[in-house]
Amino acid sequence: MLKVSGLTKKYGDFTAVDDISFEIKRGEIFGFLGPNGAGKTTTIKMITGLLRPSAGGIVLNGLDLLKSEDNFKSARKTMGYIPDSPNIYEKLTGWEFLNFVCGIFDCDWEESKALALEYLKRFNILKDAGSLIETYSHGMRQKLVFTSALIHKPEFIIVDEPMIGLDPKNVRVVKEIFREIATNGGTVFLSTHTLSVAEEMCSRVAIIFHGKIIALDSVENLKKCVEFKNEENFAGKNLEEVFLALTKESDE
Amino acid sequence: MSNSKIIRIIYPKIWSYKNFYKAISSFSLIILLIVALGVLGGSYYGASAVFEKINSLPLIAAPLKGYLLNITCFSFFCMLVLSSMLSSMSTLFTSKDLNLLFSMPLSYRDIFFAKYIETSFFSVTSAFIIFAVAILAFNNSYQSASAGSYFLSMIIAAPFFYGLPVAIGCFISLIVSKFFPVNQARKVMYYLAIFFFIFLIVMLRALEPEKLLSVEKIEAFANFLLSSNVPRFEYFPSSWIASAIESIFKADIGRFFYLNLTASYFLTFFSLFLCVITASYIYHECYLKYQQEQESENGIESKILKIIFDPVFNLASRVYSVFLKMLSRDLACVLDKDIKTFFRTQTLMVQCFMMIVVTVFYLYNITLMPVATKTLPADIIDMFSFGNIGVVALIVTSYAIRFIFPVFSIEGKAFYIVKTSPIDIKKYMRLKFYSNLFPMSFFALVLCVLSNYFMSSRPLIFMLSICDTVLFTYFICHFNLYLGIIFPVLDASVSEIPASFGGFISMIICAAYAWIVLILEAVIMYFEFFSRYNFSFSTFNLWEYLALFISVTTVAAFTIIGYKYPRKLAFEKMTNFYEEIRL
Repeated sequence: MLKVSGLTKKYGDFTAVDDISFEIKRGEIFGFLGPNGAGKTTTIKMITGLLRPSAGGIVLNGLDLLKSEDNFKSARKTMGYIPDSPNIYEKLTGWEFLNFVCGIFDCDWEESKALALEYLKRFNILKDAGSLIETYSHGMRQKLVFTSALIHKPEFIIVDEPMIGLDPKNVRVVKEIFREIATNGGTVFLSTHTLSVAEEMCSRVAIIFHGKIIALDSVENLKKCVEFKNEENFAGKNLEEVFLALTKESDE
Repeated sequence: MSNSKIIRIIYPKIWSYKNFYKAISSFSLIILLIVALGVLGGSYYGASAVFEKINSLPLIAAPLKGYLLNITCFSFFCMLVLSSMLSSMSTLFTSKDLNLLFSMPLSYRDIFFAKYIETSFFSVTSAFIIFAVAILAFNNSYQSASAGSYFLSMIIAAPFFYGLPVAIGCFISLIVSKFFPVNQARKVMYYLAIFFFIFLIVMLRALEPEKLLSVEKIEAFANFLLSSNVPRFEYFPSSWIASAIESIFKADIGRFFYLNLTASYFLTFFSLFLCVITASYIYHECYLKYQQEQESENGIESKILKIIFDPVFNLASRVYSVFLKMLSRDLACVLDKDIKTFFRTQTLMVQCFMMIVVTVFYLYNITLMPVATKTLPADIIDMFSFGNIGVVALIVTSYAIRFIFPVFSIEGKAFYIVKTSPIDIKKYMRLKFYSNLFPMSFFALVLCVLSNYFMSSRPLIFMLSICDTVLFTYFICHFNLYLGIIFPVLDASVSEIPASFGGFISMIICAAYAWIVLILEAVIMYFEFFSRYNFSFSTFNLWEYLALFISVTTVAAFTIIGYKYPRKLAFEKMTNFYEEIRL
């Protein structure tokens, strides 16, 4: 589904993302972990086309995104992006915003409306959908962004810190939605600090540190790998311990 | 009240200003400084010219300057009370740092006092600089005045103007917020301020003050002024400070000077004391009330507008939806979003309303001018009509700075939605351009046609005006939209965006472009003027034809460069938007 090879982003002398490569298959929930400033958001912005890579390649559904703008445009129709901060048009109502997103993705409003209605109900913001977004709380905005990213039925969802501002009930709703997408053959690229969510949801995780991918495997295999290196028993320990051990090791 | 705590609360604001200016390149700072000095120098020059005229009328010079100083202080004072009321509503209740401040171990009085200083700085400083320039011109118009008298007058005026109007403004805000919902009260005060301002302009203009100073009436006016006892708002605080300043200029410091000064300062400190005491009792309560309020979509203005305009809205929305259907789905959605955002942004609507009022007055002024009453020779009317092209261009520029320049900045942080969608960026830019060009062209042409009609311009000037207006509007819209993209302002309110560096640059270039084109077109005027006195085109020599050719080609070259280059830069900026700005 997504193949990233040798992806690099430089800002002058500073290398934010340094030659990273990975591949994500259809139906997979892929976790992308790393400490603050490791290069997670930069990588996401390169995949979504918000940033231009300094080197490397991105292929989505067989389309080489960096080859031409048309490829990117076609790929974007199948992509849903949920950023870490829900900046949206405050002077529109929730419904108007969804209609706007539906329009720019050129999808049928009647069909999308039914889907939006379902997601708004699940997120419990249906009654507020007619109010101006400027009256929404952070969590409500986040839920509206989720809905807007899903109404054009994307095959590939890319999410940056999805759980910020959501209450436990809605965190569960988000997890359910991600599982449904993966079950129906979609792919979720999940960048998060919430390691418990990554451990619970992701079939594989990549850990990025100082712009480089220092580990990429399933959580179980990562535990084994750290056990082997540190000669320490990681059985019963969670992803957080693995993450801290790996990032500490790389720092040293 | 702990001074160190108040200073600590204010420090982050000072640091953020320092960091903001550090982040600006020295080139930008120099440009800003030049523009600011230009505005202040122009204001000083204009005021000095007025005083020079007044001094040339020895009969009335002294009393007239006294009245003018009084009126200046009075207007300045009223304006500051009004702006303090509005800005204190924001600084005291809606400021983003308040949640943090109220959660800290600070007394409510300290927080209030820090916010009072912030309000005072924001609502007074820029106006006070203009006031200082006006006072400098006043000072220089008095023979007995010196540099010392100027500085002394500013020293006594500053505590008064920084203290009293802000204390009154904050006091009113606190009382209003105690009894009414803060959001609604803010809106009501906002609209009241606008209506009051418009009412003031209408009243002043309807008086037709120019009639007072017509040549045949000046003597009668002087006699009236000298013999009558014109009211000077003796019990109004601004009159006390005006009298004190006048005493300094006249070097007549006596009992009344000290009396006026004592009265002004006593009232200032008393108001401040009253304000702080009131705040220590009700500020926190009002703040908590505001926190509990939910901004209602159906605010008071929506309800009033709904009752009045519902039938009109229904008809307009039908026409509007038919119009949207003519566009492709993606473009229709972007346009619909932009139009809704425009009509729901209070600041833009208010500015729009104010601009319409100013335009109506401009046209009204033309009808009063001798050109419209046909008491001037045709050649002079032509000159006025030609100059009018430049004025129309300046009006369009000022509109474009307010409405077109901020278009992309308003989109700002939500731009990722468009950028990550399949929409074509070039198509998106074109839509933004044409959706702004059409209303602006309509307005500019109405302004141009009506002003020329009132001036009874000749057909050639009429045609030239229309052609130039179309050309200018196209260029100005183009330039403002693309400079707004090149210099986006993402963290400011809509009303602050035009005052940014990009806004200044855009305004200067558009105005310069209009004047350069007019200067070049003066060649056409020259041909037209001489052809009227039996010079046929065949009598012009080669050099004159060459001048005509050069002027027309230069206008075309300027327009093409101004059209192509900013668009290219804007497109690059949009493509690489997230390379430079971290959101």
